[in-house]
Amino acid sequence: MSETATTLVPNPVPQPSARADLRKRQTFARLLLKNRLAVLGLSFIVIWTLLAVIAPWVSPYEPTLTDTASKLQSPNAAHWFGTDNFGRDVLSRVLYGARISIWTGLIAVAISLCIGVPLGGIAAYYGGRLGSVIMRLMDILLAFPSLVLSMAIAASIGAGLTSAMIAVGIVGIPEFARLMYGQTISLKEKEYIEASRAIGVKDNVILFRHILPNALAPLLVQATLGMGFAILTASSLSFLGLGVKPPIAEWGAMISEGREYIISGQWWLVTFPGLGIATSILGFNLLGDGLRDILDPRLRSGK
Amino acid sequence: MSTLETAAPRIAADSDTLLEIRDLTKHYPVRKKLFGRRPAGAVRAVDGISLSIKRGETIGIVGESGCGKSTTGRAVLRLVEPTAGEILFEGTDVRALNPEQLRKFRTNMQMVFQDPYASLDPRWTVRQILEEPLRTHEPSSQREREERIDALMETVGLSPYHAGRFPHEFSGGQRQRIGIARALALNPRFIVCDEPVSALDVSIQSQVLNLMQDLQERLGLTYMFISHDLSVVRFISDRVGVMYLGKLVELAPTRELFDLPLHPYTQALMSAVPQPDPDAPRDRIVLKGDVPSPANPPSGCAFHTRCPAAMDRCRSEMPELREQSGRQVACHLYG
Repeated sequence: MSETATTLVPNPVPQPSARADLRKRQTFARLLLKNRLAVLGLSFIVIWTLLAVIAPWVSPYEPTLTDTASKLQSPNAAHWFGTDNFGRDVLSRVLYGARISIWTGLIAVAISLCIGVPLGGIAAYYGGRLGSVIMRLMDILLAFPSLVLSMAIAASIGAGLTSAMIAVGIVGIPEFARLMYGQTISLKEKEYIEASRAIGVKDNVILFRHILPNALAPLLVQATLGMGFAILTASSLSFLGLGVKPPIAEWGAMISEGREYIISGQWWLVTFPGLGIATSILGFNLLGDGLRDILDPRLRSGK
Repeated sequence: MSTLETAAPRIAADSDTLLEIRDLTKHYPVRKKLFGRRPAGAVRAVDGISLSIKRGETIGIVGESGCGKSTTGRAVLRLVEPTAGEILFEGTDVRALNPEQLRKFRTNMQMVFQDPYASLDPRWTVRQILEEPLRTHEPSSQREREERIDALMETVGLSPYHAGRFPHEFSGGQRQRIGIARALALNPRFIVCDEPVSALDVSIQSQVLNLMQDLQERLGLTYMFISHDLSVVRFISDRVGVMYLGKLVELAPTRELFDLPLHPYTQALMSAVPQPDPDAPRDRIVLKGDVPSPANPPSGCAFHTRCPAAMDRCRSEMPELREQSGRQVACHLYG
């Protein structure tokens, strides 16, 4: 794009921004659709989210309705996924379980994001002793095996869905803090950040309006992957009796309740909730990996 | 446009010094041991620079990469915190300002950056970029800001019609104009220009330089113009300071400096400028060796290791920047 020879003459720039923006979004969609694994992951997520939303309308039975007359039935026409030891319909429970799992994942990731991102950003932006203290605290959190730590936190708050969400959320904080820390460290050296400082823009404005938007892509990837982790950990907590209380349908709790029946041959009690956990986590992980590939500037720079 | 011009009248004050820099120093500590608390030494990026800048003048700062010229510019604006020294802006001690005072004081001094591709937030539109300084400092209505943004864009030769676009939709020269417009938004009186044209094509360089000169005349601006490009500095500067290893070795009016460089380092620099006439006689002074490390500068005169005219005295005694017939030079050859 060459400028005209005389100064002070504005130059018409081709491509109005709306169109360029639209094209950018289109390339993003196309790149996503070209990545087959990401599409598979996205479809798992969409299906589970949809099922979770419409569970009350599509479930053939109430998830907590006991019917001792028809307990431990293998999958049949009336109970597609069979029934458990109280005669509850496993299909209905799996569908209702999706609501809890996805909801738990969302809340837990939101907790991790809302605490981890500001901590990492502040630690990197101000640096010094404050930054060291914050990041060493994150290292301490990270040093514990995540399941052990979430168990400890959940147990200390008291078993229940809310405490499981909080526990999983806290365990996820250091990942986001470290990610944001690294992003901020590199972004704060950019000239446009220096320009804002030269203008006298307040630090919180710089952090939220300049650094955060530019750090969003990797955070999005991490949040997607974190959903899978959160669902798994929350299910594990429920399996261990630290999550939701019976008789609420939750995948981890269902596996826990059904595990004694594996040996006696009632495989459907653990298989279907297990598949629910597996496919939803797989979905989030595949989508997260796909997003990482698409949003990675090194892979896109060639375009 | 008219609002810009009335906003910054040329001030005929009793003192024509706008900015007084005394012994400005920036040392970066070097820690040797892994857990060492005490710095094991310091990189002397800027090592005692004194300079007074007059209203409306352009002072050029030249020197090779790593001599501390950019750090000097940033230290003057306190974008990097100086280690020592005084910065007096119309009598205000800039170093004594607390963070909030400094934030408000920044309306007086702005900066134009080297890389127009890096100095504009890629996620902000031009309107947002230009609005940021206005939003930060002046309580104003949306409409006032819009008008001001339009005026600013026209001032730097861009059409306000393009305000909704993102930086990547502009060429390098246009982006630098946006950078200049942003620096002008607060009606500053002093602008540090850190290699503002070195990232641009030569044909665009002259346009941007002309624009900057034009703005200086209209708005009564004072520039500190940092560059490694001698011809650019010669074109735009009233006075030129030559830096070597964190120190000012020579400071003189542009014409005198280019006609008769006094310091051996300046002479060597000048001799490296390409001559358009292939038949013109050239005395190219080729310096031996590399620039010494600013973490461990040589004793005496920092230049003595490479100076063709070095004497015994240069190795032991550091030359002061001394007045020498209307100009200043730090060399034992003169005094």
